[in-house]
Amino acid sequence: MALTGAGAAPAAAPAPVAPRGGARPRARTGLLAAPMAALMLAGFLLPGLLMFASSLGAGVRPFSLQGELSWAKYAELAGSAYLWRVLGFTLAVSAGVALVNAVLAYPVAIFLARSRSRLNRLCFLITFTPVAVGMNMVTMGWLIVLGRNGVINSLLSMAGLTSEPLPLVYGMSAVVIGLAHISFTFMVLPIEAVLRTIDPALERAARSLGASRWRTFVDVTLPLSWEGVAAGMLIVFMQSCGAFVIPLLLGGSGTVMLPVSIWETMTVANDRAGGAAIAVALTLIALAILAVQLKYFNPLRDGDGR
Amino acid sequence: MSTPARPSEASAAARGAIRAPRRPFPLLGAYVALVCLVLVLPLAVVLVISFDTASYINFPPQGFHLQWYRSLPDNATFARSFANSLIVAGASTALSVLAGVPAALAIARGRFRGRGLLYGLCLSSLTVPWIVYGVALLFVWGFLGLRLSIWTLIFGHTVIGAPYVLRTAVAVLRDMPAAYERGARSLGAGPLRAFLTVTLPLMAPGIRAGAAFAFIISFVNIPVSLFVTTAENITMPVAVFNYMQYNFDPSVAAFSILQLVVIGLFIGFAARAARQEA
Amino acid sequence: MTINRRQFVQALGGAGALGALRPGLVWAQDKSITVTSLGGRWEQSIRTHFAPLFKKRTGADVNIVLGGPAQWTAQIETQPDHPPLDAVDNSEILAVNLIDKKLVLPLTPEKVPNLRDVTPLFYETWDSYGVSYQYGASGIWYDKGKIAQAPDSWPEFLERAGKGEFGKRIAFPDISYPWTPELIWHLAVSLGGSMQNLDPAFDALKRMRPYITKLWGTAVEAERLIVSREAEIGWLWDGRVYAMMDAGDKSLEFKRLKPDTLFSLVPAQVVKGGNVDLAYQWIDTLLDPEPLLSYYQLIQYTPTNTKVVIPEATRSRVMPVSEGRVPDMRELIAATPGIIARWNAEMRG
Repeated sequence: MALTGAGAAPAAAPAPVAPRGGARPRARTGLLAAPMAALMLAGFLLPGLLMFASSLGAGVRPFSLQGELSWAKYAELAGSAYLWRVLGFTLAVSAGVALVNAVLAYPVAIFLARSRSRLNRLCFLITFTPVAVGMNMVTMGWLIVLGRNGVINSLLSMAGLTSEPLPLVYGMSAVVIGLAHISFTFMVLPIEAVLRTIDPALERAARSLGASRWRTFVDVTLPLSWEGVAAGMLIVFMQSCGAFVIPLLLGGSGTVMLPVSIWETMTVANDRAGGAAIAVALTLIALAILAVQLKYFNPLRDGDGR
Repeated sequence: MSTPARPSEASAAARGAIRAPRRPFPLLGAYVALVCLVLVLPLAVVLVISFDTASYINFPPQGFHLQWYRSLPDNATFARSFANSLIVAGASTALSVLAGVPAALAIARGRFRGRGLLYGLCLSSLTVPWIVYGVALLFVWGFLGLRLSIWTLIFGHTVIGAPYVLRTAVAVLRDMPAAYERGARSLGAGPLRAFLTVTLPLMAPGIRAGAAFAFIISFVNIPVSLFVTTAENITMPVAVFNYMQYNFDPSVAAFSILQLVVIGLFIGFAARAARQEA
Repeated sequence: MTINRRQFVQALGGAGALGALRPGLVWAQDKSITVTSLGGRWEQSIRTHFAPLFKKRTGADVNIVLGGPAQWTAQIETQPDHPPLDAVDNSEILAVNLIDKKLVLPLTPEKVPNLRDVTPLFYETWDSYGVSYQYGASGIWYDKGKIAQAPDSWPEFLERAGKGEFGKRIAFPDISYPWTPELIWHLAVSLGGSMQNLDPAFDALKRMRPYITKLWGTAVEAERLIVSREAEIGWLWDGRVYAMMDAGDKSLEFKRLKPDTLFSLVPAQVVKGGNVDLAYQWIDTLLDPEPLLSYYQLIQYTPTNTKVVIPEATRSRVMPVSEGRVPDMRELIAATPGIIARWNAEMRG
């Protein structure tokens, strides 16, 4: 809870001269969020409702709620062992990618936030490249690197380490590599941003109290940067859950993820209502995870300084 | 008490003197270099392929020429899609920042009921898979009876990009002691002035990161743009995607390398502009 | 002078506003038409072969929407009052969708004169609500250096593949590829089954499953597998394979199998509520022998206008129409969800 009680006044509410605010209308701060909230209502909630209506069988244009509306598609969903498997796989892979990236990206974030090296700027640009070049090229690049006649297999066979090319591509590892690659940026930057706001005095204090570099990191830096890690993991997890191009092209048929199923249902099966039902289900699950993450990490715990 | 690596550091730490940030762990540089290499490896391969003389993409490449790059400007779709991408990314990023930063203030600093729910609402578009959102965007536009245009893209990209700005801004605000602002206020600064001179500069890394995300994910976005693409509003990655769906020659590589160069220039510019402030 | 954040953001906003005020892109209604095309070679063909002829005849410009039938159909369905396209090159199944929703118009020889020279199959399949201007024949491609004796018939191919004779080197489409349900039907029929009895096909596919390198989702993936030789034999369309052979792949070969060939008929349709008159003329242009010949030489799919004279050198590649078959589209549509569910359960288990 807040360390200071009555002094926790909203910074942006208009105030009379009194420096601590007094009886300032606090709700007015909330109005600052109005544009974004409106954006989300029109841009997320409304389409979501339309999608939901579509999954029940409603026509979209002209919009009509007449006709047979039913939960049939959801019943089909719940009864499909295949889709449950796909859902589980999707969540597992996404969590794996988030974890892998958190571990791999954290040191890079430290480097970017702290290092004075001249290569800092170059490294910063490089961390942007996977996302900047786009999904198609990341896919193509990894296919060429991991493929049967690709870079890795060529090197391995030239070095005499393998006689048969390794099947590195069209499987789960390729999908995880591709997804981790393309979302790396989204993990590095929140962590770096938060690391930059950590007051170096806190770390110096720990050091001057005798803590080793490692202990300082574990006990001071890491907890303070946790919010950045959580932000990054959330974004990477969500992106991986919603990934379509990379699992489709780098994976095999044993690595189907939910967005691919949605696409197939809508286009190949021509079943817009069914696809919408899966989409609604996936979105609700992701919303639930978002809610849990927000509650657990509680970023709104009052951060008036520690 | 463990001894630091260098005696000078020990005495400096003991004195509590202000000094430069300590050098990172010795292996850190090597690790970062390795990671950068891996990040760049697939793209380097694509760069090599973009010069290939073969008419189909394969490894190792057969030859070297600039033909694919030279033929790009002739491609009518290329120029238009390029311009569209810049406009959509620029506009949606600006709107994302304008919506997201005030919202971050409200959520991180406000004290009202339902704050948590509001935060969840503002982050909600992070949860929807982009391919789904692309279809939903088409539905909404049809529902509202609007014609598809570049505004459809700007709207859609803002909706998915704004949470990135919000999330990182809140993360930064939360860890920023409100004491600084209160200090400014107690010196007589009005709330806007306190915000502009104290809070905003401190928030800068967060906003910068968030805006960079929003720009990039808009620029490279395919799934959200896919269903609402028209002859006029087509963006570059959608054009490349459509090309790649049905063709397999190295001009796709060239097209994408150019996309990377554009973004690289933009990021470099943004980074330099921001770092000159730091 | 340093540029601070606010100025930067303002600049972005300015760029955005500029974009919104950009005038130039409103064409006069009757001087242009919006048509569809796949990207790459297809777009190139539309721009260089068909569009100039169209402009000469009507004076109208051609705007091209890239994408795929799924996107185009979705746009037509959600914007029926002002469709963003005037003519669409559709997939067989989505074409039927648009017909049932009454979103496309019938074609007649009065409005589309070239229709008279087209084999009736190519428009009667859609009750004249669409016409194919080209068709693709399916068959197997294979590396003749690796596979000495290619199969002669579909049952033979499936049998030998299922025994592992070709090794784990087979490329086959995944259920996410739009033509796979049709392909399954075709294989079933060649084995004595039907739309109601697809067991022979699924049994054969399950036996083949361990030998499939990759189930591909787009034809380009299939091409990629061919180029990198991750597969040495597989199912694909003639146009694509011939194009690769012509581009220099010397050991690549294509063969149509007995008893018959599944072919793809991509119907072009006129959208209701758009520039209807120009759209009819566009379809007529698509059926014109002169650009069709150029199209054939680039893309290698066979034109449906009987007046087109195929050059001597490649005549043997052309599949006679009598050899081709397609399923009843509405039957296929009804059966597809079941096919997909079965595929998911049996092939992806």
